[in-house]
Amino acid sequence: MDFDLSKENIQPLRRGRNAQQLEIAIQAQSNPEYQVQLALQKEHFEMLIRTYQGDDPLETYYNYIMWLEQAYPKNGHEGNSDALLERCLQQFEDDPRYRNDLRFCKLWIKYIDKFPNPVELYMMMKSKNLCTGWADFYKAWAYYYEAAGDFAKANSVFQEGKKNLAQPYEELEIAHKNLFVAAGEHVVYGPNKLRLNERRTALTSLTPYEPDKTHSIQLPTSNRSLFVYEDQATSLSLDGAAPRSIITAAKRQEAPKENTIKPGPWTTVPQKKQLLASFKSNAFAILEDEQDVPVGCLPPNVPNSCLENYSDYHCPLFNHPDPDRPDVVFGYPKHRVYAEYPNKEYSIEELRALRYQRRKIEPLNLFVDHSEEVIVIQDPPILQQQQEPSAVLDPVAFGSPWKSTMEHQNFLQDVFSKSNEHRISALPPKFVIAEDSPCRQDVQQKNPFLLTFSPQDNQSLQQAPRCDAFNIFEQSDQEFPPLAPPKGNAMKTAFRTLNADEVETGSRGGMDVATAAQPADGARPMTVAPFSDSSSSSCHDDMDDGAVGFDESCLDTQQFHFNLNVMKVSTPQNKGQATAVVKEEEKLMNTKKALFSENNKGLSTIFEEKSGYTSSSLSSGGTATKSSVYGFNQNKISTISEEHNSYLEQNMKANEALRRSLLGNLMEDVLSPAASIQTQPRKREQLERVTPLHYIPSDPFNPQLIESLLDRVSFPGVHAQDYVEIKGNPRLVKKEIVNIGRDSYFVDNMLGRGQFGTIYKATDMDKSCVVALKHQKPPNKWEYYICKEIKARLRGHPLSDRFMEVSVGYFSKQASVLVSQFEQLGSLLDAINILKKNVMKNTENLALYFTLQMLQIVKAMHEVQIIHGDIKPDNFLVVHLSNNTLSLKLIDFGRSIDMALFPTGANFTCPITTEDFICCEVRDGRPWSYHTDIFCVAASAHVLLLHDYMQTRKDKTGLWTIAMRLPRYAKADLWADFFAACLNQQSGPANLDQLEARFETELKTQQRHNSLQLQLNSIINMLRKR
Amino acid sequence: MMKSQAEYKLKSPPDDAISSVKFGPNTNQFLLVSSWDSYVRLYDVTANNLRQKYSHENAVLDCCFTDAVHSYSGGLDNTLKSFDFNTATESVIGTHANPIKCVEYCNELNCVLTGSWDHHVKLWDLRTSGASGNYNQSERVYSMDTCGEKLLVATAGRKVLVWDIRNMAYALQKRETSLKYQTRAIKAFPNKLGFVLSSIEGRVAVEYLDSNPEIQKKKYAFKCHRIKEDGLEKIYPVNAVSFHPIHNTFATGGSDGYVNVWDGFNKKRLCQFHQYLTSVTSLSFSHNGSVLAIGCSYFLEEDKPPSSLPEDTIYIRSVTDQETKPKYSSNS
Repeated sequence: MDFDLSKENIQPLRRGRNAQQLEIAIQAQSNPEYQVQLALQKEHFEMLIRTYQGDDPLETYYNYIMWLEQAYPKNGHEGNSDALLERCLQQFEDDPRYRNDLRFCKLWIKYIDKFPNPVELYMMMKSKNLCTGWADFYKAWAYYYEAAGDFAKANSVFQEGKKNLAQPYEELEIAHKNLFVAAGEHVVYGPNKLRLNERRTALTSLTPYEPDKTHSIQLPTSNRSLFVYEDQATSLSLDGAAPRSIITAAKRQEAPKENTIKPGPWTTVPQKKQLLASFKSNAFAILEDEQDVPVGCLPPNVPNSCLENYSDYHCPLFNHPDPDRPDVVFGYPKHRVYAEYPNKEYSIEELRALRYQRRKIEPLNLFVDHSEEVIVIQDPPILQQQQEPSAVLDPVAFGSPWKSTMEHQNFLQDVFSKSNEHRISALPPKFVIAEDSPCRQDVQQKNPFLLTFSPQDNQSLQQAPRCDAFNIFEQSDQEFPPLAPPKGNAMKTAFRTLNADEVETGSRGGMDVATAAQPADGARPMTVAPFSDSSSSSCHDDMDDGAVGFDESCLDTQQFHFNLNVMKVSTPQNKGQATAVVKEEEKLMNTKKALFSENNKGLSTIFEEKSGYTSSSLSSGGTATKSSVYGFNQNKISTISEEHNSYLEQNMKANEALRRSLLGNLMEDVLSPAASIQTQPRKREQLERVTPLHYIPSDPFNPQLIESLLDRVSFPGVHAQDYVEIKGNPRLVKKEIVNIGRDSYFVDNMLGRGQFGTIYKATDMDKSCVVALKHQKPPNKWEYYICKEIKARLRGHPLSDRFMEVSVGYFSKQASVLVSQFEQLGSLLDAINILKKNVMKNTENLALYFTLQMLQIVKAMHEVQIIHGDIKPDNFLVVHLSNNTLSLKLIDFGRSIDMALFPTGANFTCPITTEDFICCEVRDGRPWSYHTDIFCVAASAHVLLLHDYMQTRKDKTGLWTIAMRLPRYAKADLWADFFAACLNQQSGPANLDQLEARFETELKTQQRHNSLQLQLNSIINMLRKR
Repeated sequence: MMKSQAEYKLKSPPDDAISSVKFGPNTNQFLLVSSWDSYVRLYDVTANNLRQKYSHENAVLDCCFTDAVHSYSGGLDNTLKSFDFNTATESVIGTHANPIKCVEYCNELNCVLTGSWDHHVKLWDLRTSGASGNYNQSERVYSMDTCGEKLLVATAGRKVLVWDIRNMAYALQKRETSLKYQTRAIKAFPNKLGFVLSSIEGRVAVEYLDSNPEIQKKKYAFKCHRIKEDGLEKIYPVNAVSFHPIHNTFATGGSDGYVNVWDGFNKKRLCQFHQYLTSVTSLSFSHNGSVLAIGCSYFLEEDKPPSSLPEDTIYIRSVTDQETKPKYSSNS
């Protein structure tokens, strides 16, 4: 039957539903034909009612309603049986004929069921003696009590019914008994909803009219005085005043009739808000919006963003400002609020928040003494639009790589936590920053150490602590006594002695000096920047990846500032800048750069010399300082032209004095800064070569020198097309996509990590190729420069592809990423290791093969005046060529030297520091240049041939030779000559053309040639599998 | 003494500056206080005790009740949190990209709005989770108030945006304040006709929403919270504005430590309370206007603050009609 499949709610009827009719009913839901039929039937009934002439009009109604019940599965509701019922009942309510008519009774039961309070109506019915002779009446009435759990009342209903001898009496009795059972069950099991519902439907559905049965009975007269003893407790007054019309009474109940209100827009019910009464003024028109939206809640489809852009709407920060008056004082830090006038203003809360931001990173204990809260440096108000101080607060606005302050802080946390590894104290010390008075504030005392740089475009100052104004550190675990009052020209802020704990021991010799020289005036020294790190290299950073790339020298520098203070040499800039603690690493870097590029180079170098540290990291040792003095001299001149010369001179004098006292004769090759240096052209035309320096620096690896050289060549200059500036420090995480500049890379894994930085294998998502990303902090522009220069200089050369090619270099102030081709087979060192493992018998062929390649590569490079400076097997990549041979590619030009920038014939004396690759010149203390590369090729060849690092010794004649014996099978004479030549370059860099030729011939011999190919194949396979 | 009964300090005040005090809806009894010490506290003002508190990760800048049992708060942790005082449970509702400066409840539409230094206002429908909308104000939000179903947003750069909360696809109005310097607070008149703005330099302006020029003519500003002594004039920010819900008069609190009550329509000052020990950072009238909560904390943000700062306190003051009811002069 189809009604089985129908989803319609089919209300059960006591007598069951006529299947046929039900089917029709179901069909009628969807079938208009059936609907028409039903409508016709309805009409028929209606007509019957209207035209009825007989004396039992109730019958037609009854039939009609019964039919409706069947015809509409929902118990007739759809057919509007309710209204009909009401009509019917109302019509015959007072009709004596039907007073005790069973049909009528059933109709009433059905009707009353719809109301929320049926018992009331039953009571009314009873008081009107309506249908009170029927058991059904009492059963229905009692039902409601039972459903509510009120069995006592239900009981009294039954009793009443019995009293009235309701018919059929047996039914009543049975129902009464069932009541007790139900009551018992209810107590034990709780209400049986199912049963109740069943009964309800049973009670309210109509039975077919059987004319032969008498449906009217004589009710026992109500005035029969039947005295029934009623227990007090159970006597419930079931009487009520008889209403005139039950129907009207019923209607008065809040019958939640469904669908009596026509459906309409549900929003048209406005509720007026009560206006405030006491407002007497009558000058205002009350503003009311059109009330066409839902009240009390948001409309359903609220737009989720503003479609207009108001960023062009600007208002001036001051609107007809009051004229400046000298007698006015402000109860808020006006100079900080309007520090960036006219571009930006800050609210007092924002200023305060800067202090609180740090709490996220390091929860403070109770040492936050408000008096110790940092004082912010005051910067001259006239500044270009630079990094905003609230970059911390507002990364989104400034397009920083961090998407939220939280991310940024996490980054900072990482940075600091890493740098903190090198520190003994866990927390960065608190900085107290000098406060300058702004130009505008006449009321505050003028700070003699005001940073009054003329706002010229000094590159190094561009990153001056303008931004530092709002970068403040929080107090660490040190007790911080109240600020010392300013004395003389000392800083207003208090300085603190560096504790031994705080400063790195060992390589930080400078500490001794710091602690020794106590300030005379009671000012305490400033604490050290938390990111000064273990790298003591004065070259570019050789540090771990996480640490910020600052030399130890910066630590010393600061201590030295302090010393200068003692000596009453005012270095306000330095102090000021040094004391400007930066939250952001990059800002710090800039500050430091500023420090270095100004007068402090000399200071730093002096300390290095004094300390004479032996650092474990690669760094030029004592002699580095010499060169850095050079660096200082040269850089100072070339970059600090706009500085406060008075301060400079004072510093210089101090430097001189200290230098003499500490260094003695180390500075024999100090050149006085030649005036000619100043006149050197800073810019060059593209086609012109850069004029080399007029002097030879003793340490070509010195970072300051490198910087100045980059300046000199106007870096990036001709190599600008692959030079991309980015912001911040890209986060390269394994298996994550990183966006650098406009490009995205998927980082596969890390290939290696060293002092230089980290190398990752990644996929360029735009070009879908695998690349190697070299991530360095701080940024390494020099390497980029050298790679590009080599490529440029070797354009057209057959070996130009044997050198690392940088396809693009991303540079920010904090880090750099160089992108180059990824070589699957790894480095030469990997190959050697594999060979060692696999115990390939005779690797001489490969040694010959690769050595020849190395020689050729190095020769080509030397021809264009580049020294690699760090040649070793790790720095050669093995490249698989199409003709199934291997070639080498030279990488890692971080230590390279561009001899074109130095005078011809330049030699250096600073030592190479790569263990096992220290050329003999250095060992002998002789000057070197290209020699080192040649020596390193020999050392690498040694590893290839003998699977171990080269050890050298001097033989009887004083010539250098290798310590190991050559294997028997080896072409001993060739190798011996080769090593001899490379180790003994006393008369200049060896000319290896002859040896090259000999290598070539050797390789071409038939025997070797064949086995070479085999060996190459096997090594290719081995490398692939690794 | 009359005074001590009329005004008293709340016990267990916050440990750091008070950013906002808010009376509960329909109550003189419960007060919500947010503080830079990262906590939001619920006080029973009549019993003078701290009922509950909950915390954020960082300083809390604003808080509000949505009903007697729920509070919403946000601050430097960029997070909007809600707290149910009955069950003592807190929940994170959402975040902004930068600190949240303002949290307001719109009674008419049963929603919460947050304004942040990330330039956006977010709309939070209490029936749903997540923000219903994120609206760019193009500048950092400094202060906000709801005005019926409207939202008034005062941003950095002296701008005010007026929105219809039901449709924030575009602003109803964008205007420049009539103040000369940075806006500190904005508050709408209870009669919704206009609003009061206070600035960082001792000035308050009364402005109207109706853009009809006749009405706009009536806007005005006046100087306040300035102290002249020893030949110096000291100008203080006006940090807080709160309206008496019935009289349409308003109280202002400044960094000078004074609270003034003003009759905006008659342009008169009705009353000035005694000077408090430190800056007044927040004010809130109770729902029937009989009690005023005054939050006081050091907020001068001097470059060199004193070594011991004054306490952070909340004063509960019973205000009389005389202090807050407009006096009608013969020519008003």
